[in-house]
Amino acid sequence: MLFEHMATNYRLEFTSLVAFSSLWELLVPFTRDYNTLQEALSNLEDYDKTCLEAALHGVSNVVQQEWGHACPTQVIYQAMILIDLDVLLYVLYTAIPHQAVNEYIKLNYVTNCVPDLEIVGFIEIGDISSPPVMSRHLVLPIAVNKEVDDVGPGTTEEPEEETSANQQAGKVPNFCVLLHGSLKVEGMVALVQLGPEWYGMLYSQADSKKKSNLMMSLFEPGPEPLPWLGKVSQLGPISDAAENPYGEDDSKSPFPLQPKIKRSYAQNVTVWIKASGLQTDVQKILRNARKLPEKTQTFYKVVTRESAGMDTLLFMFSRLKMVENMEVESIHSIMDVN
Amino acid sequence: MKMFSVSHKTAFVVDHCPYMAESSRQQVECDVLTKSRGQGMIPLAPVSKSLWTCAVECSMEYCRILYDVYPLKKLINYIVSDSEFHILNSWRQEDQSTHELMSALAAVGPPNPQEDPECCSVLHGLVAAVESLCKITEYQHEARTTLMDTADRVANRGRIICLTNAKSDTHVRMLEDCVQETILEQNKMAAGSDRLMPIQQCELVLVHIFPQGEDTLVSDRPKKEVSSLLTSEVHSVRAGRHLATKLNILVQQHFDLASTTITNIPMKEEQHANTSANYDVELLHHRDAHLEFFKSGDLHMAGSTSRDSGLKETVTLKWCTPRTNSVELHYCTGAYRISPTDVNSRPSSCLTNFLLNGRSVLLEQPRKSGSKVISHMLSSHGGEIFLHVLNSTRSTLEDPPSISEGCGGRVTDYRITDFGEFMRENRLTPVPESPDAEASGKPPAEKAKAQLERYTRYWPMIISQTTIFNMQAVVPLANLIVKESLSEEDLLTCQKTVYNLVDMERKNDPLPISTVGSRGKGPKRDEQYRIMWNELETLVKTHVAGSERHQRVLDCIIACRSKPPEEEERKKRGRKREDKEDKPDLMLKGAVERVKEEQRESEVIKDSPDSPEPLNKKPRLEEIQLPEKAKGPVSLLTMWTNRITVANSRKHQEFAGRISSVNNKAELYQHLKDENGCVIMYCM
Repeated sequence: MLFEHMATNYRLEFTSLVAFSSLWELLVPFTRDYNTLQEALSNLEDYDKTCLEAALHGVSNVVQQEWGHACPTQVIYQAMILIDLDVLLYVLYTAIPHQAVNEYIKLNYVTNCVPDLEIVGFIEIGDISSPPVMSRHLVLPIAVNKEVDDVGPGTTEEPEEETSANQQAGKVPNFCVLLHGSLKVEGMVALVQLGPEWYGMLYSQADSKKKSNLMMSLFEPGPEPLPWLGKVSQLGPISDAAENPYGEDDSKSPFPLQPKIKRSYAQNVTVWIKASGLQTDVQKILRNARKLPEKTQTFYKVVTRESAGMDTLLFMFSRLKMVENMEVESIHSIMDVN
Repeated sequence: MKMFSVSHKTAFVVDHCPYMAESSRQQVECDVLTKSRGQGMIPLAPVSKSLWTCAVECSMEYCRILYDVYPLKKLINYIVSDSEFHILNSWRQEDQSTHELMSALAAVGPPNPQEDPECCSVLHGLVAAVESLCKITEYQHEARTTLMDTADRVANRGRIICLTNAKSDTHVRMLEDCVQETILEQNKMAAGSDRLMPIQQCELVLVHIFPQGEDTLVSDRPKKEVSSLLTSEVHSVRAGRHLATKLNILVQQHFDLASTTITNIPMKEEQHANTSANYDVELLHHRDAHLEFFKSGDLHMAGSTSRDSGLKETVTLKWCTPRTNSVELHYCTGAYRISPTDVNSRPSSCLTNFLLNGRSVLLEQPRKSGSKVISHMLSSHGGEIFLHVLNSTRSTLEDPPSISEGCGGRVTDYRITDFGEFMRENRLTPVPESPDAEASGKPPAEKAKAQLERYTRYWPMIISQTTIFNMQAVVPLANLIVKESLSEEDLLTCQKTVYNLVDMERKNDPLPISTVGSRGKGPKRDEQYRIMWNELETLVKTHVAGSERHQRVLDCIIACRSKPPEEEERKKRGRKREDKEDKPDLMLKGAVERVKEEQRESEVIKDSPDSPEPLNKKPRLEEIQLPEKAKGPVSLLTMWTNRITVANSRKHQEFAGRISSVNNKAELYQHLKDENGCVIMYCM
């Protein structure tokens, strides 16, 4: 009966059947074929005592092998739909690594606790820039108009009637289809809010070259899930800005946000830990020093750039006995003046 | 990592005593390009760095890597110790920069060999470090303020990294004991102060630096507990290359970092411009970027190569030459900031510049057999380079149902282009935070949501469900009515739009209503306009609560639009009755009716209580010169001509020639006649 219920309402979910007692056995690997699952269930024999922990370990392995470590899974026990969440959590905490538990909790939160999804606004795909996401979900349109679903009391659902009900539903305009079409054509995503300080995005995802669907990805909860977007609460409509930040011809963008201080690789840093670094910089200075007094400007530029490093160099030079060298002396004198 | 873990605060204590001026005895050749030297030039002697220089350089590298990967919330306090302590920066986020530290270090200068060695000790710095760890950071303060009653849940932990040249193991023990005592003293003081917090956990990392070619007097010791508040570990390291490696390993351990080597990067050689060779670049990042490898046990397969001291592990990923510039949305489960290990090397700066210029690179997990797996991507965002983890496992979402099979999938005339335009108008932009903004109401995202709600109150999804959104004439009103508030100019534009529609109806212009009806041609023109007006009313009604001017737009529409048939008939019948009484001449009834009807219509527009006079076509009532009333019965022609004259006179001044014409001829340019004797006649 459980499989019938799932076949009707969750036909896109992958399900696997595992029998356990003191050992565990994978009876049916992950499939969408509920008939196979039903058959295996009816052929199930009784085993010896129950050892839940081993079974959960086994389940954890099977899931990881098939789907990787980041896939949320629901564990359903025979004769119960779901164990009370607290009990299940206790068991999971002792048997499965925390990662899987967190994924489980996240899955439940999303399906049970999120009442409303609000679109905040739209962002170009190039600006959202392959963001890290916590989970991905298919967004499927459901018929809002109840009349379409209602086949009438007492009538059995014949295949033809069902088809016509589906056909009817197909002809009622649905926002998901409109949203998906426009997002795909414009190459944009819709930024959505699931709860206070929890955001995600809706976008068109192509499964193959021909087919695409509306999908939703959730960011990690928090006020600033993507550093290059900044705080989401500070994102406002472009109509409020003095000038359109995207430019009249969409050639500009207000994103990505830049950090206040640049990273080391984005500026000139002096690192002389490896000999090659020191050698290159000394040679650079000497090369320019040789061109003195003609290329004084270039020399100053090179020296100023290395100034912090030059002080280090200075206290190295000052500690050593340097062989008399005209160029080095001229460097010294210029440095002293500066 | 917990929020206020030991890694939140790190105090560097660097020994600046005279003995630190001793040479490390690792020589560096400066004079590399001997061939370019001219004659009579004495070659540069090799340079060797002092213990102090080594300590400074390696600690700066530690900071550089830390700030690259954690630009915020991981804080360094740099202390230099000789006869006294010198604190070079504070815990403030603004003070966290290698640039600032380098400048401060340059001001300190090298150790002074003249200083009295009796007074000099690294102890001064260690004591200052403990005191510093008791100071509250802005992040701790914020957390305590937020938690209020449970503020004691905010922890105070920290690490002290001491770079020194110790004398012996006994000396090291003495330093540890000193730190322990200072912690106890400082904790007592902190307990009684608002601005200080007692230390709950302190990690002391003592790095003993000694020159090459010498034996060490201090032994390595792994982390051990000195007390419940203090742990201590000792590393004995040769100055130079070894010290650099040691601090590189420590920064990885302290901040949960891992190493990835990007291999197979094609770069052009300076000397040989036509060839390119393959280079490797090593990057450091948070170790979670390798999580999938750990889980699947592929870490070894990906390649753990050992470097210099044989202690480093790195995962090797192959560079995939980017094929297209197309922007793709990858399914990515993590993005981690990177720091190149060798930031100045040519291959490294080539790679980082390539990425900073906006190109992304896919990275392949090398496999002995099987198909290629793209596991990561390097991408720069706003000047920061991230290592993205791409999901390469099978998805439960494979083979989803086609959209055309689902609800709404069979509809073919969705307003995709219009919605696309709507989305572009509702793109987001970052708004800089300002202290006044908090007082001024809604945060920007709330304004964005409110705008979306207003714009979509009435938004038909398919072309066949709407008339007004398929009409160019409605655009000005439709664009303005969704605004939160309307200016007087906006209101006028809306009203002009309405008048324009009235005009169109009068001229019987066709409407873009689909004529696909159940039979025949579909609705007639009158009915079409009725449908259009109804929809326009519906649109505006959803916005009347917005403001008084919104209401006036609605009033204008209701007043101007064509009425339902029954009402029109009633009006006509009413007028007919009036005419019977006033004008006995039945032959003229039709013409009079038409005139009165038009006058009434223009009166309706004029007399409507709130609509102002249309700007350009202001009726010049005061200048109308009605033709003299003829005596006796008026002919139809006369009546018609009068009507045209009256209408024309409202629009413009009559041509002077026509007014003064005699027998349909008028003399023009009279002054020319007077001056030059020529006459120009105009015949009408």
